[in-house]
Amino acid sequence: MRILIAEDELISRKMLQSMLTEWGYQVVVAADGSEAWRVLQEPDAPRIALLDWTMPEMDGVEICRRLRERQTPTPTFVILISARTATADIVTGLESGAHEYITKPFDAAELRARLRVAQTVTELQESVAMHSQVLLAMKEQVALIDEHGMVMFTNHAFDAMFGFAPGQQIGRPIVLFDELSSAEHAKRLAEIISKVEQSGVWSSEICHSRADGSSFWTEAQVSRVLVSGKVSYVVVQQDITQRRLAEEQTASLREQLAHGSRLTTLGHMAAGLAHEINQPLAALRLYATAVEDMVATLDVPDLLDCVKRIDQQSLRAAEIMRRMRNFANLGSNKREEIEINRLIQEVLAILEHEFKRGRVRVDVRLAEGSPCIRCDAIQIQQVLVNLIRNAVEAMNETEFDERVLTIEASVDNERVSVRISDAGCGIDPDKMDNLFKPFRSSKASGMGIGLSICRTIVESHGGSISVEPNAPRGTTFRFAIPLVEPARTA
Amino acid sequence: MTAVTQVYVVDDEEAIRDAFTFLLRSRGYTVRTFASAREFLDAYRDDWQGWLFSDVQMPVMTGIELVRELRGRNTLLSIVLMTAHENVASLRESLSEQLVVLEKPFSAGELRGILVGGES
Repeated sequence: MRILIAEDELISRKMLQSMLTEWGYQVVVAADGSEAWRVLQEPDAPRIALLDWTMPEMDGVEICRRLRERQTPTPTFVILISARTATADIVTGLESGAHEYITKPFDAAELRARLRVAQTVTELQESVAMHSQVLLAMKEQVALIDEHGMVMFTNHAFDAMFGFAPGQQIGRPIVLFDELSSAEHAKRLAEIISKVEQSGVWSSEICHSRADGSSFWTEAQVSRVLVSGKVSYVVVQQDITQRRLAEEQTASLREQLAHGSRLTTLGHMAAGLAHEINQPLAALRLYATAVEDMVATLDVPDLLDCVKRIDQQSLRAAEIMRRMRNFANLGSNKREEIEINRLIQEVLAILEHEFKRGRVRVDVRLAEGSPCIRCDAIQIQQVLVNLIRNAVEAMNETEFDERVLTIEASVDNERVSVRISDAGCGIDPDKMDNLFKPFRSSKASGMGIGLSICRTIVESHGGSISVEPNAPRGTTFRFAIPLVEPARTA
Repeated sequence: MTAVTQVYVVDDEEAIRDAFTFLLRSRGYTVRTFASAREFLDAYRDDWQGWLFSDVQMPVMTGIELVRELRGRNTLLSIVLMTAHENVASLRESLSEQLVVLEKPFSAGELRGILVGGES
């Protein structure tokens, strides 16, 4: 450790220098007050100074006063040395800013002991300064409050986030919920503090509004600490606005997908129902016509009329089926040009938690050159979700380290092709033929509608879907949709 | 050209086969019905002439597969496909040669139009 010795008397200076050197300190010497002051202003000035009170140019007490004005977190530890032994002098010396006062002639053992204290104090100051710098530099907003909610400390991030000048909030009640009145806020804070006392910590997500009307979200955590023997609370807040936005987008996407899925299922069921009902209706119309033919030669106009009405009503029923089918199809029929890579990435975000739960590693190879397809994004994402979920499910029995899902997009022959490959249980060869037909599920709990919907969607986009077994295990589904040249801007 | 009076009907729906028989028999056609494409092919002979009305969506062998098979054998039959599905347009597209497709439920008028048109 470095120590400054400022002493104008040569013999005393040399004596001090040899003693301190012997004790293991690095010594810097100054022969007068102005030289000492110059040394102390250097960036890496010694942290401990032994200053003689009486020196030419600038005395030790003056240096103490100047040092005190600097207000640094790591002030120089000053030991004032003087032949003045009167109590009034000692008080003057210490009040000028000196930390210790030693009278001449001094005892070497005492000086050594006092230097150890000085060393301890300066090391402590360094450590405190380091911690507080870390705290101040953190991007999380940190505040310390007392048990009444009065602010004792804030870091830069806290002040910046709420638009306060540094330290402006100290001594004021903390504001966590800006929409509450001060009485309500005090009540809420008391509840939080009692929660912290019970379970050690309280945390919550909080919405704040800025003066300009915009809002932001933080995640706040309150925990209990003891400061100078008093119960205090540390409030740490983190800006989670971006995370919440991303979460909301994912949730809304998932909602759209679920809605799209219901619509497509409805459309698919309507189409299936229409097919089933059109069969008897077709027979009904033919029968009616046959009866019409038969009674035409007889003179029973009412009967003929009745039969014609049977035919008309059959036609009407068919028309209702057609409208229902068209409605369900049109409901989600918005085609736009969109990058296949984007669709895949959004779906992967939605399914993230399912990969984690299924311990599945996902190997994604996006298409080069950002190819686009013209499609109903929700419907194509539904195909992806269906195929990917099936793949994850198929690997339920696979060893953890072999659970790899490969998703690969590429352009092939004017078509954008997506391959979804699993290392799962595979599909019974007998079932491959009927795989895409409705109501043919191979799963115990399945309705057997997922893959047939995938096919309906892919085909309605002018594409095709196929399946093949993988070697040595698993299944690969592949669908392809015509590529569109992205619109070029002039 | 002599009047074509032979009609073959392939449909897995019994009511359709039955109704065809009622209607066309009363108009002087000879009607023979089959419950599946396979059943039809088992009976089929290459010298058969007249009309074939076949449903598209049938298990095991679809109407389209039946058409391909018959074309491969240079059939003399005039073929009409029937479908209860909406995608008649795409069905027509997917069949390379011209083919009449009737959308169920079709009217007796549409049916008559086809039969009379074929005779002229």
